[in-house]
Amino acid sequence: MIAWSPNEISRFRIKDFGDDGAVVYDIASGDTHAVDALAMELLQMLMERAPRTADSISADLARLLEGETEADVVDAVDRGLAQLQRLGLVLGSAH
Amino acid sequence: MKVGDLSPDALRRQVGEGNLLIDLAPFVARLRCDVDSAVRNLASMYAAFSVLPSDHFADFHIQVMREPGLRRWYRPQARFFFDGQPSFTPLPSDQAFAMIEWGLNWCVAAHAHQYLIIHAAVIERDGRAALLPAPPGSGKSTLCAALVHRGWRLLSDELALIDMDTGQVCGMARPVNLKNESIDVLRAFAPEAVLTPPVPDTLKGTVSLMRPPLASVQRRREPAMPAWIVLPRYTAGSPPRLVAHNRARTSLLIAEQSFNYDIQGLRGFDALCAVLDRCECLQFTYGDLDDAVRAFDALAATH
Repeated sequence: MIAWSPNEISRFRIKDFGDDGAVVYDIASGDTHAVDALAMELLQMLMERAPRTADSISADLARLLEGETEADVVDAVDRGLAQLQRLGLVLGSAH
Repeated sequence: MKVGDLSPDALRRQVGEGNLLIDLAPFVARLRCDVDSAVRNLASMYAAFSVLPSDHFADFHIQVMREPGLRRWYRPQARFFFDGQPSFTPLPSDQAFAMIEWGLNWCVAAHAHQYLIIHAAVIERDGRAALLPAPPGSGKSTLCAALVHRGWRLLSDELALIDMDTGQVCGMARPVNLKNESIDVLRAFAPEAVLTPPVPDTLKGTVSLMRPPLASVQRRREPAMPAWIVLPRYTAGSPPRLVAHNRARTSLLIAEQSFNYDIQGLRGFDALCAVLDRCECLQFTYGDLDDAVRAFDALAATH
């Protein structure tokens, strides 16, 4: 099981466009990336409480998205966490 | 004194000696050129631009000169010089005026880093600017040329200069670069437009420059606040469709279409975000210029 935490958030400048997602500027590399809205929501959740597992995030997210089950959102959460990890916004550690 | 106030001989002499300083606002370019066709086009395209005294400061020192040697008689070429240094490979001399235009664009894009520079057309109405960023072939310049003949002010068809302190966009109201089929399309749409004789077989195909409208040149010092980012896409036969475009993806596209975003660092990112904050982001698919004019009129009517 992997537990996820935000990583070096001060390294990034984030512009959140709500439902349109966000753009993230990596001050260290000078790269700019687009982040989808769900991934931004996951980052927000991790900034409020971390470390957390994907299962724990999925359970909370399913409650937030009324009508969705944990099984419905688990794939999307995995994809969102992978996106955040690829950009260096979150770090996973063995739990 | 305007370029158009100079007699053909006086203009040829002044530009031949390298003493023609044109006030492009916000830049000044000093030009030297010995290619007659380019000087004639300069007279026509820049007629309404002010000429500055020859001892005035110039941001860019540009020469487009005929190449020496035997080729001069059987296949004449001209070369672009920046600050006295040859900057690009020579091209056929009938492309000399286009070289001045392309070279000026390069000068600005490569040096004017006080601005965030986006590869985009910019037009304005009632103080609000529309940025039309797009890769070549999207119909950006054709759309821009059409709209500036129907009530929109031209700021630029190539370079949006974003002032990173104020967020306003500047342009130089320079000639609009038309290519291939768009030349005849524009002639049919706006018969009053003044175009240079088409030059075939350039790297961009057949090119012709369109004289900027007088009112746009007269107001070229006046910046505007961006209100819309419109991504144009010409599709033959398509009905007009103006739909919202994802703002995060628009941000990335603007960054990609910028000439100097990479060197601006965090300041460039903040300036980009500030522009996005002010703008409605739209994708515009069109197949007819009259439809496009109506769609942009409706856009301008929104508050």
